[in-house]
Amino acid sequence: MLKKLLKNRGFFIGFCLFSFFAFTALLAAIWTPYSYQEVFENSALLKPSAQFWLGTDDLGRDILSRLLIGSQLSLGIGILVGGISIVVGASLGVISGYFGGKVDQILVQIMNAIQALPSLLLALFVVAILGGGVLNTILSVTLVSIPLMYRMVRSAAIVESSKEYIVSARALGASDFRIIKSHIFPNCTTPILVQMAVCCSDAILNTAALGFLGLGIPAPYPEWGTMLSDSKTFIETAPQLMTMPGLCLLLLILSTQLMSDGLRDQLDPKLRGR
Amino acid sequence: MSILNKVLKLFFAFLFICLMSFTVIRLIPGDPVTNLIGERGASPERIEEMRKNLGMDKSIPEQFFIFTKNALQGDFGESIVSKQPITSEFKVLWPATFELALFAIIWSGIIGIVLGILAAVKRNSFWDYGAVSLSTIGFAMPIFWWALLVIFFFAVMLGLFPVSGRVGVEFEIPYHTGFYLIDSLFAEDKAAFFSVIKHMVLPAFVLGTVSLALIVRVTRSAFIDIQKEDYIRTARAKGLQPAQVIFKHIFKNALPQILTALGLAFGQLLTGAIMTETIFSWPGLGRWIIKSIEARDYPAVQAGVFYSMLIIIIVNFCTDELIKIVNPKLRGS
Repeated sequence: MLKKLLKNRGFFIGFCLFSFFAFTALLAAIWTPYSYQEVFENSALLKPSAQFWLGTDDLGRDILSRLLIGSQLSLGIGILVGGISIVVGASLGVISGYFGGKVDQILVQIMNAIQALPSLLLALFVVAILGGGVLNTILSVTLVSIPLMYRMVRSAAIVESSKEYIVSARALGASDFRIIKSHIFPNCTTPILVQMAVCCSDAILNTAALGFLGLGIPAPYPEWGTMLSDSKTFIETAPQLMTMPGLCLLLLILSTQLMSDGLRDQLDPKLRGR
Repeated sequence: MSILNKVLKLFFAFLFICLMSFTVIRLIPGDPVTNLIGERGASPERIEEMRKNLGMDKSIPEQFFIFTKNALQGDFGESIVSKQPITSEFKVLWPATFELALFAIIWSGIIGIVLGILAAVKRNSFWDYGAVSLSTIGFAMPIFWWALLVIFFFAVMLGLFPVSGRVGVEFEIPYHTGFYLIDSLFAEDKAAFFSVIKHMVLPAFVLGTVSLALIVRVTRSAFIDIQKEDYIRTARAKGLQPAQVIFKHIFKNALPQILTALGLAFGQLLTGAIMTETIFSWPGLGRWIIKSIEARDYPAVQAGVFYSMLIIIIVNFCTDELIKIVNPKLRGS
């Protein structure tokens, strides 16, 4: 399947970009030019040079090192949230779509309630209630991404459970658990993957937005949104500060969206080129 | 019957948002009374007194009833920070956000629809690739970075537009409607009017970019779908001019989808407004919500939850009704 997907130009570009960020995140685990917290005296707001490849920020910290650690943070949160939304959102979606009835109705209402507010706004309120910090940020962006996964998987599961082979499987005496495990779930893989990429990109964007507003991941973590927010003050004197974090953020989000579009084309060839 | 249904639906929606904003304040760790009055370490007598004043000594269902009744009258208590009734603050704030959002949706709607049509009609041309890349990048663009880029280019480098506030500090606009464009016209102050427009350009441009991506994509795919229909082939075979086919047949049928996208875009604008207003120091709802959250001004946060949900429900309701007007098939469903 991956071979077929890579022939899709959009998916290929997205995959390359994503691999690049995965590489930088792994690289940051073993090597960064300096420590992301190390403050160099008398070297604030330096332009890119041989010593500091991308220059230094307002406190004299190496930007490249901070960017690398930042890619770990963004990518980590994106994948983590995508994973949790699969575990929670997709399971709830399959249960809701397969069983229908009261459970389905209640779950749909709960998800509607979560989605009554735009995702960033809800994440903001959750952070406002629980207070900032790494864990609460992740919690709030996860909460808003679960309904996205739930809805898509639920509708896929409904279509799947109404097919005849499910009826015959039941007639053969297969238990509900067995039907879900070996028929419904495998047939929902593509929508789950598509939606995982969507959840991932939403999580990255929302985390950065919270960081930019000063309510997300706190200092000293070099989150890209926080870095952008710090660079705002120096927009006239040191515009190079805001270039890289924003560009990285754009490319990372773009890569997940391109991959999700490519996967969606695979799911429904009729949608190709939309 | 259908009107009764609609009223009932709106009523339940209203109850729902009351319930949400009512619960918010009680989910915050700590004592709700100290949270609401914002005085940590107040004497026990004072807290007891406030508990009575806020009606917190009553049972929860009773409290909810009082809250709903007050919300119906638009009473959310006083802001901890400014000590003003929140409703009177809101009255000044919402026109600012509405004015900004309206301009954003107007420019992005017009340009988005035109670009979407161009892309669909001239498929696989320069226009098509341009529109598709534009909407793909627009979807992925973090709006705060985009705002910084726009500020850097248009304000710092070219010095064309101001980057903060709604009007130059030298102008005093008398309050009529809260919409500065209208108020400055009322005051017959031409210089103020142009100053308002100049302040509006950059934030409205940034805010509209997000909805632009959505509108281009939806218009284009709706057009591509409908172009394949048999009745379009018939219309062309009859010898209608291409322009007639596009506007009379395709556009009319694509309108419900486009309107849905516009409604969705308006919801997005609310989120976008938070970022845009914070960056451009625009004195609207979005910036107010952020400030309230930062100051732990919980009554204001509670009202913020309430108002943002109210706006979204009203927008959704209006889009639904509009779609029913343009698409007779959906009426009565």
